[in-house]
Amino acid sequence: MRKFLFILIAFLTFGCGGYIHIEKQEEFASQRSKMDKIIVLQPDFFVVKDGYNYKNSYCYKKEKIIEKSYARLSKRFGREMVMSSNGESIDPEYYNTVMRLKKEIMIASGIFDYQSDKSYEGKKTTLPLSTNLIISPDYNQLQKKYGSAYFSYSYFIESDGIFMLTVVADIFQSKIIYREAKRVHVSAKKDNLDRMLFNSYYSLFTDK
Amino acid sequence: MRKSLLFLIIFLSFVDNGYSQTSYKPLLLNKAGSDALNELLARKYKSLIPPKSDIDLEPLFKSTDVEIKHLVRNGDILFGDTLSNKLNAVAQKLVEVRPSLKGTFRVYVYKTTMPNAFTFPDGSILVTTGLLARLSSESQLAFVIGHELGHLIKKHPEQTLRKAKKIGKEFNLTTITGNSFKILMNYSQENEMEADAIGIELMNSAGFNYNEALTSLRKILLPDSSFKPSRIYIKKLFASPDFNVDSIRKKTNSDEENYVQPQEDDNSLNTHPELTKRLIALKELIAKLQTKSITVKNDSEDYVPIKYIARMENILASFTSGNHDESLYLSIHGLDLYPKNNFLILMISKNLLWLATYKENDNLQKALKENKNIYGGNFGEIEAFISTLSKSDLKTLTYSFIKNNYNSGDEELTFYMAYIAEFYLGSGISRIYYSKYMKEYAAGKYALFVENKLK
Repeated sequence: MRKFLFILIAFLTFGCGGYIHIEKQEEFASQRSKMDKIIVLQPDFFVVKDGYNYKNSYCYKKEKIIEKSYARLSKRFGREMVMSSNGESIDPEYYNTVMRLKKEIMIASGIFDYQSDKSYEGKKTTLPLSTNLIISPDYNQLQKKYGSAYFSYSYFIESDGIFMLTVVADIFQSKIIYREAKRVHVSAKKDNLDRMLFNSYYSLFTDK
Repeated sequence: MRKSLLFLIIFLSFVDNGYSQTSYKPLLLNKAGSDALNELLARKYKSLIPPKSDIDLEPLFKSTDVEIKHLVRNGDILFGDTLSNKLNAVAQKLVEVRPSLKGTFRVYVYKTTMPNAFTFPDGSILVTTGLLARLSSESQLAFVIGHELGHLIKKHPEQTLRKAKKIGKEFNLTTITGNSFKILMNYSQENEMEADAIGIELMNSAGFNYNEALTSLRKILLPDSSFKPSRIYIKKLFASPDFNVDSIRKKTNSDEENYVQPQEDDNSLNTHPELTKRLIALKELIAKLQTKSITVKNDSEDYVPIKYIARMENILASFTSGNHDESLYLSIHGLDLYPKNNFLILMISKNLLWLATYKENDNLQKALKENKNIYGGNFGEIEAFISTLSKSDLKTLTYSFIKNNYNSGDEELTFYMAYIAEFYLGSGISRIYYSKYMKEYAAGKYALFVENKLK
């Protein structure tokens, strides 16, 4: 079933144009086995439309759909994938620390302009992380509370298909250890989002 | 006993106003933040501080506005901290003569460098740290909040949003109806003047210095001309035996096209009608009030801790938005005002490091702020300075700056010191530092290790 899904998403990716670009730190294979638990930061879904003097808009409903997908992925992969917060409760530490971490991950992940780089088109590439992307060292404290050093964050941009970026940070090492950028020319339906997420975490956990 | 206690309190409030300008800890939600503000709240607004049960985000969580939900979820809105409490206390004072307004609104601090304030139909008022950093007295702040309350009293947000929705539906522009911030930045001139008038009226009845409204309005609508870290200062700041600032400065000075001249207005500020018309109208209103000869006191001293906090939060806000040139600029400017401030040294280091990383990856343009015109000083000069540097020069500059400042005892700065050392000296060193870091940082020995290694 998993294999089928992977083939399907690969077909969707390359059959309709698009790319998958993965970068991971050199020692990533040894880290993968330690990733029993991943803390998932709230995903973001942006809709980008030009022409009305207004560019970005968040899609709250899509974000909720994606959040639910993580619970299903957790079962499929047999690894704990815990949302850092449900986003509706008031946990001061969440706002004071976890959200800062999310923003730092966004900065570190945004250093390359995947979106406009046409050289990726139609390919799946896997490379070692060429740049050391650090995050502040004071997030070490979160490891105790959340029981894992691995925090992942995904954001989606709907514009001419869907662009998705998934980043995994190791807060013990204070750096980004894995990044996957991909563009798939499909609509942002629930099933498509589910498949994209599955595909990303399948690559993360299995190296395939 | 009571008398001596009173003297002690008065003495302490004059001798030590409770906050240090040599360091800064970011404001935390739901927790006490600045001692200086706490003291001020206790002294001036004791009866006006909202009960703790009121300090929550329920109204914002219930908001149907997607943009607000995102700000809250991303931690961009402060609540329950001393700064928010202070703003709410000022707001409560403003509506003391209008008891029907009590409980109908709540003021939140929105962490962004954009100087603005927004009022939503549900009574949520957002005041940005960018705006707070521009003001210089409590009365100026009172005008900002009073003006926003004016919009609320006159139901301008509701009317404006409804109107925009109608237009959006009519022309099928669904994206326009999605961003309430954009809509609420486009009140009509009539609406703005109505809100100004109510703001002045509220200030007057609450005993604020209504003359400050004019200064407040100018500060909101004009670029901030107080930003002027001088070239001499920049040279001094980055002076190092490892780095020749003079050679770079020559290149920078010749590159005039990189300079951004201060402008009267920019996109983020075009929300208000022409300044002059509003100023004339305000002056007329004030002239009428002055016939009542109310004595008002200068309250700029009380604003000092607010300005300091807002400046520091702006640096963090621009850093976390990835605007490293802006964050660097604000940090340099800050260090000019608050010398030897460890927080500012750390922020300069972090921003330089990120700019160098962007440059290393040929993507510096991505880290440069798009809208530069909100600063009327020499923002362009700093940006040109960074842009003109070669990859290796920027790395050397970053390395030199952190090396010159890292012995401040700040563990986080030491981490960056080690990182820039790797980045600057090459990947061979990198492995040593990281493996050591992994093993020893938790035990607090890492700082010592790096210091010894770099001597």
